[in-house]
Amino acid sequence: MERLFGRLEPWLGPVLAALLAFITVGVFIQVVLRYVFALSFLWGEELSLFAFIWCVFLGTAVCSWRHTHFSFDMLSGAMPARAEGVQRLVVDLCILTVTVVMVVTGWQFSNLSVARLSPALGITLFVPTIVIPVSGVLMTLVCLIDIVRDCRQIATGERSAGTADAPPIDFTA
Amino acid sequence: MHPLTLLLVSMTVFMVIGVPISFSLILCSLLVIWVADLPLMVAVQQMFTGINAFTLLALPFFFLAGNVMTEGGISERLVQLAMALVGHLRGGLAHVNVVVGMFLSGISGSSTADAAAIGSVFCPAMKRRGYDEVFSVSLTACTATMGAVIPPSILMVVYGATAGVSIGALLIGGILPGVLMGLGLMLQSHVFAVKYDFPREHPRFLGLGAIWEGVKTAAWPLGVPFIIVIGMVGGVFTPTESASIAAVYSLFVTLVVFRSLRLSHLPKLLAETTIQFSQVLFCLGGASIFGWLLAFYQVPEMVTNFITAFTQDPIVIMILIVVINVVLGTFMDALPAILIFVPIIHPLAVTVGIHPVHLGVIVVMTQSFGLLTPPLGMVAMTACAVGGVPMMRIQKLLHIMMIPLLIVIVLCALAPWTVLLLPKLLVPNWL
Repeated sequence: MERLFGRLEPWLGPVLAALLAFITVGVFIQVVLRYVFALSFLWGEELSLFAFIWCVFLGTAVCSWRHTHFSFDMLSGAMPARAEGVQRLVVDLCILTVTVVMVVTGWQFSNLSVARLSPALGITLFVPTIVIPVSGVLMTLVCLIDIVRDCRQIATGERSAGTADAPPIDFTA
Repeated sequence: MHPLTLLLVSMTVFMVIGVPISFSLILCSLLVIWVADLPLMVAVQQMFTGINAFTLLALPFFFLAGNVMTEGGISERLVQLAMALVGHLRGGLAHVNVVVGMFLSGISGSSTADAAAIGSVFCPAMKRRGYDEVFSVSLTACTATMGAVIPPSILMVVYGATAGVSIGALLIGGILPGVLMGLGLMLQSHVFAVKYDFPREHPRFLGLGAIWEGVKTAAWPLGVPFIIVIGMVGGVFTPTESASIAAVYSLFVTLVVFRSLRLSHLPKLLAETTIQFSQVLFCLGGASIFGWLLAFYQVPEMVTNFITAFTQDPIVIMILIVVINVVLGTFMDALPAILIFVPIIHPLAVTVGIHPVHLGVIVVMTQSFGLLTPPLGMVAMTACAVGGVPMMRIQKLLHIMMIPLLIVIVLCALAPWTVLLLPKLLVPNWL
């Protein structure tokens, strides 16, 4: 499973890059068309927004894989390996609950959205909403890998290689 | 247990044991939704609606423009202009540090990114000129806090989306306070320079010719703030549209004009940018479920009624908000603090007659200031990492050097015109 995701990541990168390029070029062309040629495309706005939502949820899955989600790292490093394993197991079980809800309820939500159409293009809202369960599945997989790793750490008392991840730098603020 | 108590207690517990912020926000909301027997679908629906907003598209563009420009090595170009402007002052390099920080914060939307960019140029340069490394790291950290105040600003976009305030007015409102912060830091640098006899970079003012040369070198990168501000002020573009033009412009400058960014690096840069902003927006999605629950249980009304029973004086409430934000900023990062507490304090402030844009700029300034204080001072941590100085060593000096910033924040909090002047003049219909 670990290898599967390792193979998936190089694929996700170009997809994310392509989506962001699409959004940037899309919105830019729309602005140019509107102000230079006085043409207005509401559907351009809509498509960019859909691509943006896909970016957000797929990018989040990559953050899970890399363990770069913002968190308060008060406990890590301060505990013996076994206790740390237990703490990480609890955390990962918490995350698993969320990702499972994203898969199950997200799937129901996107099925309900099939009948709702977007205002400009008339595309079914299934298109932007389906990414929630898709991202949920990816994050559930990552979380299961982590749980296996935590259990191994609790059993053997050795820190797994994954613990030494570089602390994430938050470039938001 | 009342669902509200459960919401707040469980959120704190999850965060403390190390569950990432986004997941903590979602999980505590799920818990309450489950206990209160609300439909689980509400959670997913709120998360989706929280992200499904065209105004939020400004975020990826601000991230992209900042990343592209930093990757394309524009800091050195800004140094030349700053050197011609203030290099002749006593402690010239310290002044240049602040001025370049001001320019950079007009190009990138993030204080942390600014700290990395300024630190990597100035920490070695200031050391060579005989400045104490503790001083240069502390100054770099202080300078970088302007990044979130001067547009473009990621925190302002997040604030605007959370509180439902015009993002354009917030961005324009941040200009003057940001410049005041810079002036405060320059005044302080002057005091330090006189006391410790810092060197001048050149013996006298180089003249307008040198400034013109500097302007020519720095003109391309400085086009970014001009596009963003003038695009919005002209009433021509929305903030999102200005941001997209700025992103395309910065790609054009680095790929075509300077050729400092190679086309082959672009896919990786785009992917990393997406990963950066996706986690911010995932937090925002989690916070919109949380905010919906707060509204559902009428928390904002409760807090407003509670506080206004004691005082309705906007000045007292403003001071209270600044104090709360400074305390919060010490224990929390800026992003979660804004996401969690703005839905609560925003209605309170509006009730007592504080202008929403004034409040927004003050909250962002204070939260940005909080990025200097440990244990979660991301900006101070980044500056230390780049300058190679342990956090413990800069604490004492940093706390002294933070004082001018605090004075500017209090000044702007007490004098609403410092924030509202420019938006009133330039974009009156967004207020």
